[in-house]
Amino acid sequence: MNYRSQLVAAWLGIAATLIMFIGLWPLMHFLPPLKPGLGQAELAAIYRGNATGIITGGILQMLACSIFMLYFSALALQLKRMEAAPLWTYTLLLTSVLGFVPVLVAEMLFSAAAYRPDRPDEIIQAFSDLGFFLFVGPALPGAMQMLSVAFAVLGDRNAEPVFPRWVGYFSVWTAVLALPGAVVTLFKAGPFAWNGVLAFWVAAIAFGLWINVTFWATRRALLIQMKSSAA
Amino acid sequence: MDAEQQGAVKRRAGHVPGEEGVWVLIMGDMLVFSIFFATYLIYRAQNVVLYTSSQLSMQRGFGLLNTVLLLTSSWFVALAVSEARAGGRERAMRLLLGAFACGIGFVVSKAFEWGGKIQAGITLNSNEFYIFYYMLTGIHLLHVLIGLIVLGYLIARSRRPDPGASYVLVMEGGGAFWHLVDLLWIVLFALLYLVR
Repeated sequence: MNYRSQLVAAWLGIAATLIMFIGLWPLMHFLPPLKPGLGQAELAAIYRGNATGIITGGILQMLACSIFMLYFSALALQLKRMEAAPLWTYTLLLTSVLGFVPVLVAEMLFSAAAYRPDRPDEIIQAFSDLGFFLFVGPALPGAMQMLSVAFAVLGDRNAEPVFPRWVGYFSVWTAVLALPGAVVTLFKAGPFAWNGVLAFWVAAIAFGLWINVTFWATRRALLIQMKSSAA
Repeated sequence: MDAEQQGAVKRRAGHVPGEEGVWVLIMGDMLVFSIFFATYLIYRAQNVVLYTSSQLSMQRGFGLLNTVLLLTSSWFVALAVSEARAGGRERAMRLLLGAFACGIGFVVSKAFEWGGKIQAGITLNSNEFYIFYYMLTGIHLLHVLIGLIVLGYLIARSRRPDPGASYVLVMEGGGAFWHLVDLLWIVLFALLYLVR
């Protein structure tokens, strides 16, 4: 079995998280996210002032999205070992795509906003708004990814469970944490806006924690598989 | 189960109710709600006048009714768990039905409370306080709905001819989650309806 490739794929999840972070923070300057309440002129000036950073950051983030697919495939392979009929495995794969496609499009919108500095301010604002909606908005597919792992882990009937059961309960918890991201379109300020404590920061930290914990569990499961196949 | 037996259950050394993993979720959820509550209090501190005046529109009667319903349901659940431990599945099932009915009562009363507010023209974005009011009670309501699904599962499990070896563990874990839903509401009730 190709355990070694799977292990590399799992590590790529951590790499993708880092690449995403580098794109978002030092390049795009989107940490913290631009305030939804910024004036059109102010907002447009930000896109004009950092056009190259925003566009290269966008390219890095699209790279991260693509690399993440390998990670979720490695995770799905572990889920498959837990299930007799791989319902949650398929759901994880589908919701991984459903959750990351909007992020990919968001990066294109950010790039489009920065692409032509002579564009009118209000068009830059429209692209920027759409970008942030699509970037923070896919909280529901994200929560569904987490619940897929949760249900697969909690339904695992193997004598030696593939993941520790607490990873299942942990995933339910992060799914709850990610939910406030789903309502960003309702607010222009406050904790549930796209730059809010609950809709952005808590949801982003939840996703980061979940990637790290599922990575740990996947790596652990792979090492056990490698050991038992060598024996 | 008599008092002596209950004491014996309590005295079992180092007993964690339910499977340990449930507590990751429960503690995690308590942490999340602590963040929600802290966020609310920080925003509130910056605009006390707005919050205090908006809070005057809170109907404490509804809040109190909700609290009584959840406390009663928690009591039913606690009794059901001790019945389950003693092997009284039939009675546990009936107690759980009582808890389930109280939970439904909570959902119905919340619908009336929200409905009244919306009819009075107070909606999500009316002001900052109402953002918190609708969002926090909404996220809590989601927990109540998940809790009702859990209670439903416990009822179904209690009715099975053979409830399985993990029956008591599942009852304890599900019960602990329902108590969490109750506990969170009590803090929410205090923060939204009582603190002025």
